[in-house]
Amino acid sequence: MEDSKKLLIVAIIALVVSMLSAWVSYLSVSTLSSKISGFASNTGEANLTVESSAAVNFTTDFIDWGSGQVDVGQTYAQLTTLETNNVTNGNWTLQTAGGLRIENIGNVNVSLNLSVGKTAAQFIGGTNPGYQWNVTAVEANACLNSTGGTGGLQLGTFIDTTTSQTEFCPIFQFVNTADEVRIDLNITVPYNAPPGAKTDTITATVTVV
Amino acid sequence: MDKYHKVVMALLVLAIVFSIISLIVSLGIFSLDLPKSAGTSARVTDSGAAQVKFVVEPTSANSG
Repeated sequence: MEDSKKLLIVAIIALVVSMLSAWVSYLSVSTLSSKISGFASNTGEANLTVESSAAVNFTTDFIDWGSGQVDVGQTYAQLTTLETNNVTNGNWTLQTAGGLRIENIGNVNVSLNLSVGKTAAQFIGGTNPGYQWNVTAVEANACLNSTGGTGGLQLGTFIDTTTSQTEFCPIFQFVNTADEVRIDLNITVPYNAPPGAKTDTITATVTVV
Repeated sequence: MDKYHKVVMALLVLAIVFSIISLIVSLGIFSLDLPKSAGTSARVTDSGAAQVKFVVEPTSANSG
């Protein structure tokens, strides 16, 4: 084969390979640009994901009965967070009635667990101290059982507090009309409780259900 | 084949080689694993705390 023909064949091959390469490069760039965020085109596509967020907030987060003592001749005093008759056999004064208030401020239903930081003996001291709580739904159906009903819940009655997590609401709803519960407290202060400031922390933990 | 033809032939061969390399690199884009959207995470737990306080004043009965 003469040299000119060889050259022609090589040139044709070079041209074909170059065209093929250019075509593949064009396809590759097209594919890549569709994968890169921020690529603009005349047809738009907006993607967004709404993340679920478990969030709880104590709208009333401090209960204070001030300073006081058990009435002389009484063996104990009773302190509650109820609106009326919240101090019995003592001269304490409840600063804010209505209990602690917890609101589900997230965008998903959660389970609500409560715990206290101290036992009655650690918190109050003396002989037979009492430390109870009573969870109630401020808004109807804020607190539901695991099947979405209202049966079997420990609501509306004073029971002893615990330092371990106790589930009160398997479903604590997030909808604005049913997302708030209150925790009332009932504290029994024995006449021989050691004098001094008594403080404790109540912790609410929520988990997405 | 004269010298001129040899040079042209060499250049064409180089063009083919570089084109093939370009082709391979371009094909490599297809195997890139690019995310189509940002990763998301959701908060699944939260907690809050409240304080309870009262003061027991000393009396003759409990001051010791």
